[in-house]
Amino acid sequence: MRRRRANGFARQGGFARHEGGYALIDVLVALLISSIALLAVLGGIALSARTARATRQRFIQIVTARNKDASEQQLSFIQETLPK
Amino acid sequence: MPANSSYRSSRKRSRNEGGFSVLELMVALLLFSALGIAVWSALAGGQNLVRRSSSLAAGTARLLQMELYLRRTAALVRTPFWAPGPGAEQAEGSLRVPWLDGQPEESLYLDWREGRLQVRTRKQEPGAVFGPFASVECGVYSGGPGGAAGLRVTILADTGDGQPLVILAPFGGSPFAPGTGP
Repeated sequence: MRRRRANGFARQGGFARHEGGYALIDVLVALLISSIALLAVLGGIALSARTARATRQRFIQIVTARNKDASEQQLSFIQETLPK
Repeated sequence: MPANSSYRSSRKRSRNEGGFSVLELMVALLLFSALGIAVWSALAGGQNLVRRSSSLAAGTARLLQMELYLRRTAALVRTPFWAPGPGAEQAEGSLRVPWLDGQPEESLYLDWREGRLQVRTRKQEPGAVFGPFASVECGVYSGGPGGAAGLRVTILADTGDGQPLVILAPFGGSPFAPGTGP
């Protein structure tokens, strides 16, 4: 019973792929998949690094604008700001 | 003789079909080694980038908190209009600015040493401590075209492009109105 099942499995081509010599294409497909996964991971890391750098630049721009606003403020008294 | 030829051909065929030669294995090992080194260096670079990015983001968040705190605290200093200036007292690594909350006996204290900045609104209280930074320098700016005055804090952060960050935090009190002059 067991032998018959094994023979049937072999007849249907169960291990035919391994016996036929498809090792190179298997390796290439595995390399393609792993390289896509690696690129996705590294792309995410690069994107987060770019976001962090842009955040720092935006913060420096905000501080510069606030500094300009603070240094250009003018001191005036309430009486002078009242409508005439 | 024919039997020997048949044996050789069958052996050659079995060698080609049965597995890999040592040369093929060595070439495969060489290719996979080069590939592994490339992947390893890419992952190491990615890990370094992650470390630097997280450090940069944390440093930016700390700077943002400090900038907001400094501006909010400096606005509590309200110098009366008859006073010539806030009358700040600066020493080595410390700055005292009176007229906190408009009271001459209350002061804002700034102390900086070893890259840390401590801001206190009461002398006995610990206040807020920011840092560590590469360097911190504090002072008072005044004498602008509109007569504005405030705190001037220069920070050199460990993370970033190496440029010092200058924060001007204006004092409150007398009505500062941007763009309006006498």
